[in-house]
Amino acid sequence: MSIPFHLYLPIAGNSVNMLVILALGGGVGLLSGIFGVGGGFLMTPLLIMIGIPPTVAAATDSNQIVGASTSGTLAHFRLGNVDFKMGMLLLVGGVIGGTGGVQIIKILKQLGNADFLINLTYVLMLGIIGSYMFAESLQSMRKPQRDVSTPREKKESLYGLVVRSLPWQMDFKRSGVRVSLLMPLVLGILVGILAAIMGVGGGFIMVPVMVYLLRMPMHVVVGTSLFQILFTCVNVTIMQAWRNHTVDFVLALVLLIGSSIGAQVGAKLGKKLRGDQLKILLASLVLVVMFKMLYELLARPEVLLAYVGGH
Amino acid sequence: MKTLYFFLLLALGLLTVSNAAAQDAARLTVEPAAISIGALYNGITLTAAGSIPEDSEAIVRFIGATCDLHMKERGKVGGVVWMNLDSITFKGAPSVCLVSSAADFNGLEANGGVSVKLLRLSGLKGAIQVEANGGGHENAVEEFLKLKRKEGLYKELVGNISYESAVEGQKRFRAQVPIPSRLAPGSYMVELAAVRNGEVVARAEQPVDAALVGFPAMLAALAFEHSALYGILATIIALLAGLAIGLIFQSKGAH
Repeated sequence: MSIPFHLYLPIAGNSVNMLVILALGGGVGLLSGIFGVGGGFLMTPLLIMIGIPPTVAAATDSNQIVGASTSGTLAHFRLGNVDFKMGMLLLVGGVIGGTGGVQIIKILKQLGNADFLINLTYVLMLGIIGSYMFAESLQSMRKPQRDVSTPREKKESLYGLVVRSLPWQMDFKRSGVRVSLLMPLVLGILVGILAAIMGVGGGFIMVPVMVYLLRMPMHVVVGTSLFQILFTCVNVTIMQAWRNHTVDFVLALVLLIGSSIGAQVGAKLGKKLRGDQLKILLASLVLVVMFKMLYELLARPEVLLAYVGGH
Repeated sequence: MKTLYFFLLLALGLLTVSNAAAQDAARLTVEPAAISIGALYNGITLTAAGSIPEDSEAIVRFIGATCDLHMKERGKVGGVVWMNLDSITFKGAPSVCLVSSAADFNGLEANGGVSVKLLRLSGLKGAIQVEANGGGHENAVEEFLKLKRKEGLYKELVGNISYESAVEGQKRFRAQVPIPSRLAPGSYMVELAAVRNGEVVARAEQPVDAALVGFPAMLAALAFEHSALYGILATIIALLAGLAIGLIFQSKGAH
């Protein structure tokens, strides 16, 4: 039985059931609020599945992430989980990296192997990040809980020594870390390049980078990631609407209503979960998406044709 | 006297021919004459009605304008992974093709003649041209038809045409054609073919325009004619909506 409440989307050129869109937005927004990821890597394939053209799905998703991450950032800001200084530095790096990544994609497209490399990057990145986070979280969950007030002294790793020896060290009070100015800038550039190649906001790469390489606490990571994603998606939305006419605002607004509410619930739910619980849930999600993509790469497609524009 | 007989026979002949021509005529009306795509549009049922010779079958096609479609062919790389490979362009493919009949198409085709085959989706194979580099694109059109069927834009419908009893060699028909929700604004054509023994004996057609109206029309005009402004507005509204929802939750949390 179909629920008779449809809305025609003029840019997507299709009619959709509003309740389905609200549910999709709510589900992905919930994950966004819990984990601090924009949800682009989940939402875009889901929109394509319900008949939205791939280019419109990706661009519209950026538009709705603007709203969802605004709502999520606000919620995390109130909880004291946004490190603006770190977020701004990552953002500057992300913009530089994103611009470079767009040029890399242009060169790859000229060489004719862009799609293969995009998909391979997806599977490798998701596989590496997901497996590492899953194993690490599982290990920390199995360990007996130690008294947090008396942390055990650990021998400093080579990575730690290199990071400490970098110039322009500064304090990031909200995150409780002291690292070189270069660290968030360079990591932001690397994530920006990968995000541009993969055509996503980069939240699911940025979160592990902040946790493992910048050693920020998980709850601050989530808020700061949302803050950074907000600005990335503002840029993408305006560019896509202006250059490609692929932003369907009606679809974005309906998704946004669902995802903003979902993000608020997610932020509250995330606060109730421990850091390692959050990490293992995100790792599982990343691995599920990786296996889905791997299956799509290996299984024979139903139709041996694809529209130009989708990955 | 012979001259009189000659004129009488001629008049009789002309009457017979004109009567036969009248019997082999097809008439078509379409309701609605234009499709309005408003905010709540979710496809409509288009009614094509008219008359055809009593010993023929009606085939009604709702067909869109042809355009070039640029796509990617998917193939196996290294014998392991499926990827988008060669660029391919399909020319002369209609945007929509819905073919309706009261009787099974295979049955109509089995009566002989090639006209029915040309009216069916399989008949598009000859009309669609493929442009691609190199060889190995033999199944491209078949895959294209499969994709369009999956999208619901190409369809063969059986049993959605009903008939009334014949009067003076003509029978009235009524076709209920479900127009998909995934319909782009543009010009479409409803084509009627009266088929006897697998051959078309009469044709008629009516144009149908589909146009955006109301809010979708306004939004599409803004998106395509003032795209930068549209992008900025979309961003601002998304920001404000996100803030508003955030504040609603804050006030709820305060109580």
